[in-house]
Amino acid sequence: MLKVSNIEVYYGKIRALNSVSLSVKQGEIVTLIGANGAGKTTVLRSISGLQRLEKGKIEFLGKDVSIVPAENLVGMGLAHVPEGRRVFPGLTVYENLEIGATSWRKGKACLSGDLENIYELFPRLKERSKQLAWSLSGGEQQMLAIGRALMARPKLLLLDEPSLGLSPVLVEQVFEVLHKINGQGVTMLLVEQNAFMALDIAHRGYVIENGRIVLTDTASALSNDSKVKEAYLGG
Amino acid sequence: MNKKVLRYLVFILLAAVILSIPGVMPNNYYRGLANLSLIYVIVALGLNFIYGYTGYISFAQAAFFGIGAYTTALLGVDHHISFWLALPLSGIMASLFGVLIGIPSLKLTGHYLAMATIGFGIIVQMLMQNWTSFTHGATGVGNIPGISLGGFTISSASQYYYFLLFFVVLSILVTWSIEHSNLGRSFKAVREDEIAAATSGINLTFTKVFSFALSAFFAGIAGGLYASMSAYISPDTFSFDQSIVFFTMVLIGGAGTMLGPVIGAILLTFVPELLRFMKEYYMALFGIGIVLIMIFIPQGIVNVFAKDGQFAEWITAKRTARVESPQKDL
Repeated sequence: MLKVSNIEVYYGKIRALNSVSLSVKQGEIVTLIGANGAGKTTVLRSISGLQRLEKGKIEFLGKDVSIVPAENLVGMGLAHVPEGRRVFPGLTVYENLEIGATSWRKGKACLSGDLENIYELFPRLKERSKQLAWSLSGGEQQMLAIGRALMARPKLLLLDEPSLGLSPVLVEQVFEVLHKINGQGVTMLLVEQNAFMALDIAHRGYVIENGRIVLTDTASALSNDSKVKEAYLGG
Repeated sequence: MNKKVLRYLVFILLAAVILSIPGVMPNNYYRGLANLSLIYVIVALGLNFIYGYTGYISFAQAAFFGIGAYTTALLGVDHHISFWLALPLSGIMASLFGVLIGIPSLKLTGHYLAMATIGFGIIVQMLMQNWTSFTHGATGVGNIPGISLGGFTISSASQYYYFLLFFVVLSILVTWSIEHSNLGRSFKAVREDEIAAATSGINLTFTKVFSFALSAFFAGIAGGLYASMSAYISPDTFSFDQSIVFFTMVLIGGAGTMLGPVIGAILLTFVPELLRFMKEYYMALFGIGIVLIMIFIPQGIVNVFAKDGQFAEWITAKRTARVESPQKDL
C-alpha cells in the first residue's frame, strides 16, 4: 500500500533522514519507534507531503507521490494526524470534524454516517460537539484530531505520537480505539516514543536512530529483542 | 411563540430605523456621512474575509478601494463607459491586485506580510499622484458621471442612501452564504492552523489567494460606488491612514463575525464627527476611546452581545495572550 524507498531529507545543511526505506501493507498496523530527534516525525511529514524530499521515492497505492502536495494526498486516501494534535482551536468540535471531510465532500453532502461512526468510537466528542476545541482536555483534543482524520475516509492513517502528553489511562483508551479503527479496515503507520504501547497493537515495527532505520521485524520479535528492550522498553 | 413575535418586532423596528435614516438626519452633511458609512461597511466586510476569517493582516484595503474608485472614474471620464459596466470592472480590477498581494501570503506571515501590504498601498498611492497622464495626478479626477437607473438619475443624498443600502444588504448576504459554505470553513481552518488545514485536504494556495481577491473585490466595488457618488476623487483619500481606519473598524466591531465589521464601520464614521465639539482635542479623545475598547473588549463590540459567549472568550484569550499561540514552525 505504501512504499518508501531510500528517502533523504535535509533541514538546511543537516541531514535529517539518511536513506530511509519502509513499507506498509494493506490492513497492517506498522509502528516506527525511536528516541526524540531520531527523525520519526520527519518520516511522516515526508510521506504526507509536508516535507520536500532531497532523494528517494514514495509510492502510495502504486502511484509515485513523492511530490504530491499534502492536500491532494488526503483525497487519495492518506490522512495524517499531526504531532501535538493541532485541532482548530477557535472552531467547534463539529466544525473541526466537518473540515476533515473537505477532500471528498461536495456542497452540503450529508455527513451523518461518518459522524455517527466517530461519535461511536469517541462518545466524548458527541457530548462536546458544540464546544470550541481549545476548551477540550488534551485527551479529548487527541480524539478530535483522530476523528477529524477519519472524516477524510482514509485508507492509510498516519499517526504522530498520539500518546504525547496523555495520562496512562487515556493512552490505553486511545490505543484501544486505534485497534478498533484498524478492525474497520484502516491501515496505519504509527510513530511513537511509547514503544511498549505501540508494539502491543502493531503487526510490524521499524526502529529509527539518527535518521536511519536500524532494525525491522514483527512487533512481537521487536518486543523481545534485547537491544530494543534496553533502549526503548526500560530494560 | 412570544420570543418569535419579539424577534419579528425587533427586526421590523430595526428595518424601520435603517429606512428612516435619511429623513431623521438633520442636514445633507449628515446624510452624506451616512452614505459614506455604508460604503465603508462594504470595505470592512471585505477586509473581514482576509483578517477575520482567514487570519491575515492587510493594510492594502485603501489601495484596493482606490483602485476600484479610479477604475470607475477613469472609465467614466476618459472613456465614457457606463457606471453599470465600470462597477463590476472596478471589483475585478481590485481583485486582480488582490491576487497579486495574495501570492506573497503563501510565503510570508504575520508582520512580514503586513509590511508587504503597506508597501503595496504606498506604491499605489504614489502612482495615483505621479502618473499624471493616466490618473490625472494629484489634482484628482473630477466630473465623474453619476448613476442612472433606467432613465432615473440618482441625484439626492437620500436616493444614494437607498441605492447604497441595496449593495450593503447584498454584501451581507454574500458574506453570510460564504461563511456557511465549504469555502468559509476553509478560510477559518487556515486561520486556526495551516498545517492542520493542509492535512485536512484544504488547498492553502487557493484558499489564501481567493480570500485576498474576495476582500479586494469588495473594496473595489465600494470604491466604484464612492467615485460615482462623490463625483470627484483624489489620491489623498486612499492613504495608509485610511487602511488603518478600515482595519480598526473590523477589529473594534468584531473580526470573524458577520455584523462586527458593519457596526465598526458605522461607529468609526460617525463617532469622530460627534466628537467635533471637542475642537482640537477630538482626535485625541477618539484615539483614547479606541485604546480603551481594545483593552476592555478585545473581542470586539458585537461579541459582547453574542448569545453564545464561547467565541468571544476564545478571541479574548488569544488577544490578551492567555493561551500559547499555536506552533507555526512544525
